[in-house]
Amino acid sequence: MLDVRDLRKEYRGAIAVDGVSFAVPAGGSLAVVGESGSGKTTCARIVTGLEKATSGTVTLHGSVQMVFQDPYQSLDRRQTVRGCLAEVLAHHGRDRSRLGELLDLVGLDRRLGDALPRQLSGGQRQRVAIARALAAEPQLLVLDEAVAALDVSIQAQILNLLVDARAATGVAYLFITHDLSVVRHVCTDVVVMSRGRVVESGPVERVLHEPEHGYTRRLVASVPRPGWVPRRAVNRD
Amino acid sequence: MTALAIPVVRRAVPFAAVICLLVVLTAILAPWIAPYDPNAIDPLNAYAPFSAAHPLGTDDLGRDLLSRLIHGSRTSLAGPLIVVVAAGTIGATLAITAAWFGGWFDALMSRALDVLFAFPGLVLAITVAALFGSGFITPVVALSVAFVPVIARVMRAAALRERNLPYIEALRVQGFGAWRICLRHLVPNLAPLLMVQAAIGFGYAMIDLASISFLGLGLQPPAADWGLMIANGQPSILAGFPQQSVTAAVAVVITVVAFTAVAERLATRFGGDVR
Repeated sequence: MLDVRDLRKEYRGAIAVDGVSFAVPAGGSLAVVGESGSGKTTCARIVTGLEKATSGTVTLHGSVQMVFQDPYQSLDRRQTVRGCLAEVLAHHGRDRSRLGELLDLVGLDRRLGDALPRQLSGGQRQRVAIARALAAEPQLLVLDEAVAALDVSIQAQILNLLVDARAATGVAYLFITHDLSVVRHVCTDVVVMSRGRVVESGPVERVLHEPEHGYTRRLVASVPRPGWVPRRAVNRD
Repeated sequence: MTALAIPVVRRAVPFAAVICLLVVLTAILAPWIAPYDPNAIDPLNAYAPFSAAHPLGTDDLGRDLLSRLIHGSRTSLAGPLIVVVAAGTIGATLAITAAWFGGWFDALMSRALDVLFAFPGLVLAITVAALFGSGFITPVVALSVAFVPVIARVMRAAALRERNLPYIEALRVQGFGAWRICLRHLVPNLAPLLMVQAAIGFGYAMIDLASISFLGLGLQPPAADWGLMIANGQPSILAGFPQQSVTAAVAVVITVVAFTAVAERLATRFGGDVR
């Protein structure tokens, strides 16, 4: 459904994205993993139309929406939850009655409809942002570091929500993250980017357990696992 | 540091707000609350002292000073009000347009405003009034133009900050047009800061317009206007009757201080609010 071919983006001579290709099937979920500056966010912004590619093609059958990293600034601080969702529903010609369903879908108490962003926690705000993105009933949702700004316990809740929302709506995900540990919860496939290029791609299980590229191996090795003990605690004995 | 750093001034803010309200009410209700016709001449009763009949006395032509002061509040408030509304509207529109489009358009606009900003507003207004004739409208229009860069510079910085927040990008991805995003989201979020800027500008505009009237380039006699009253009262000071100049000057000072105190209080409340 989304097909990205030979994407290239230059900023005044600096190359941010250098010949990147990937595809997301309808209802699929692809993670794009890499460190800061690897070009993954630039890819996301090109896919959503916020930036233009220098060359290459993006083919998208359907509509796309986006959830941003910072839940504190991705909502209009003057708009209530209800006002925010109603505006988007009206803009896309959807019925206002879907508002309640949307709140249920993202696990927000309907009583929070009249709340302003400042009255909500980071996790709640990100739920609103996800509801706003899903209000348009897109075929593809781009999640740009959507859980990176949240506490670990809240991250888990939002990741579960994303899994449930995909099952309920059939939306496809393009999940941009620097954090490998959140990938396996949400995605079936993964693309690993480094310095603007794709260094490895494949099913999540394969890439995480048998990484072929040295960069992927280092990324995988840097993720804390169950049984991992901080070194200082070990030294204390 | 603002005047609000002084505790006495800070505590006086509610008092200042009441004064602002009273002055505005006086201007609106002038014809009904003024005891006399402000232009009714009574030469036999010139330079009357304070009395029950004339609480502030009379001027050189025997006109009731309280009535003239009350009527004078109308032009003295309307002038600065028009200046800040006009300059605020134009300044905010330029600022948001510049912040939205950015690039060469923003650069051009910013340089143009810098040039205008470098030109003292009062000098501009006096020059224009001297060239195009005195009266109410000319200095007000000239001062409005002079106030545009003052407001536009502050608003542009705020609009630029606001425009780069992720919620604007979220709205763009949603498919909302530039017009709608600006009018429904940028403008309401910038409105508190614009109100504060306008309120602060109001005091400055009032002093500038009173100065222009004082120089004889604003409203002409026999209009009742505070700046003009200060000027017209000058010969009487030499004659030993300073009431006219003093009461009008006190009215200007009290009003400016009251409006500025309230404006600065609003500024500390809303000025830096971005989240």
